[in-house]
Amino acid sequence: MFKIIYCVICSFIILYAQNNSYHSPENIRLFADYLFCQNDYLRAIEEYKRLENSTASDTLIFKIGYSYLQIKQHNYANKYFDMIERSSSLKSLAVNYNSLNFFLIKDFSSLKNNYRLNSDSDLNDSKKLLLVSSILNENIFPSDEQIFLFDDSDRLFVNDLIIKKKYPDYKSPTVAGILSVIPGAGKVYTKNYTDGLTSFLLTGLFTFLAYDNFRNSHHFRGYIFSFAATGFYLGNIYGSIISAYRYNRNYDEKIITETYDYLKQKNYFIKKVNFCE
Amino acid sequence: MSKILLIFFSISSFIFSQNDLIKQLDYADSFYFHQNYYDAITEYKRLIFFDKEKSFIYYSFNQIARCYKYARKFEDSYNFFSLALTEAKSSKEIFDCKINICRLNIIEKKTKNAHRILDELEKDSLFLEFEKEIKHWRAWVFYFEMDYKKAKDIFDELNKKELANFSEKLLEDSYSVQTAKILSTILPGLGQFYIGHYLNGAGSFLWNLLSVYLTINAFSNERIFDGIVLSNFLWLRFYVGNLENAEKFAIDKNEKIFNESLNSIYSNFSEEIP
Repeated sequence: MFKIIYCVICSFIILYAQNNSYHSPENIRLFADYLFCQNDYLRAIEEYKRLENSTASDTLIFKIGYSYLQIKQHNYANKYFDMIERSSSLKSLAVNYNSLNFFLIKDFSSLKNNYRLNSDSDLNDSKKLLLVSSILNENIFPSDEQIFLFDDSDRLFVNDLIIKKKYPDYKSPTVAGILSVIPGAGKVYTKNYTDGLTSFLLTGLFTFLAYDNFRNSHHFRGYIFSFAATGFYLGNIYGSIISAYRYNRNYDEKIITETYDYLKQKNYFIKKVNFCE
Repeated sequence: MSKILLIFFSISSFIFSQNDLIKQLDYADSFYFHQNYYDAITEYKRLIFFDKEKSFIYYSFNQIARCYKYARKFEDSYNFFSLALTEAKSSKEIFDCKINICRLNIIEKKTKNAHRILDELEKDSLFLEFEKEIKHWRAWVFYFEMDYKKAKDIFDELNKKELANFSEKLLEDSYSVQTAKILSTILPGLGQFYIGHYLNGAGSFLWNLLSVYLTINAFSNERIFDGIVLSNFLWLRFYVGNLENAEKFAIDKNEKIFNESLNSIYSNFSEEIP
């Protein structure tokens, strides 16, 4: 009896001593999931990768792809999402997240290809993203039927976006240039009021100084002020044209920013995954 | 017999789980001491995850915070010191966490926050025994505010002669922004001369002289409008520019002296610095 107990104790000690339990595959997996749920994606990736060769599964690969997406390593995210087997239940989710990946790096041709090559999956989410991307980048507007893919609130947003893109509130650089015959008027037209007022005052002031100096026979100073006044006047015309271009660029940028903000709020229309509950 | 075995297994599993934790702690510490802070953080996090009894949680949070601090990720460091604070048990541990948070604020020159933390510690009767340490860090706050006089006085009071001498030297080397501005107000360019920017001072003086001459000349010839324009757009611009320059040069020079002093401090007083 004593021998048996002795053997049990010895084997028990050897077993425990040899086993560095926190680095066993099961524990690595548990720890990686913990890091993943703590949003420590970089470390989660490293832990998942330790399991890649031994206990790789679609969930694990998806989580690596998702982690890469979160830390904006889009090429790696793409690689891992592509690795998921067609037969996997996570395939359509991976394709949708891959669409998001392409949307975020503004690689719209890959976004289209991703949608086209995986048409056998359930890709409603990708389709929505593709439609928004077409409106934003190519001014291609969806049909009424396609708009009904979106929920009610999203539909309102998409309709608003279509109106903004179809009938943009641009300012014409030509009109701005012509209006600036009256110094500052072109800038006021492009809603650049302070610059408009400054242009008007400076051109007016230097013109007056030139006139006043010529009138009092200070010809040299008259020429200097005339030169300055001409410079300000021409600058005012050029500035108004540039101001119109800038206004239009800001208008486009504002639409893009608003759209991305809205999409971010809606998780880019992609179904959220929750591995942490 | 079965009872004995059961007790034996319970005790040994507890001991071995503790052993694993200690092994993991050593493993994490080895990364920390080799300054491999990224891996150290991973391993401390692993320790926290498996430490169900929370035996090492305060230590791990503290170490992670230190790793982030050495990696100059102050925001993360601040968060982990705050987490350590929630796990602190003794007044010493609470004090250490708060002081470490204060030190982060000093490094980031958030001196108002640092003063506030020290004020709170000073008022709390729990930390009476740490009075000297609080004063020590107060001196550093003054030092980082470039108020070397106050820093020196406190270091003197604490009998830290080397730090006091160091502060005194900086006090002598640094320039008074106020003096520079006053000198430049009295005579344009004089403030720049005081700081040692002679060429700039001479330039400032000459530009002011020229613009004053043109302004006076215009007024004396009864060209009132010219005089107003010249005084507003020329002379005033150079005069205000001269004042701003004097202030900027003094601040920049003091900043340079302060930054240079940090190198020396970090090599000579590594234990007592923020």
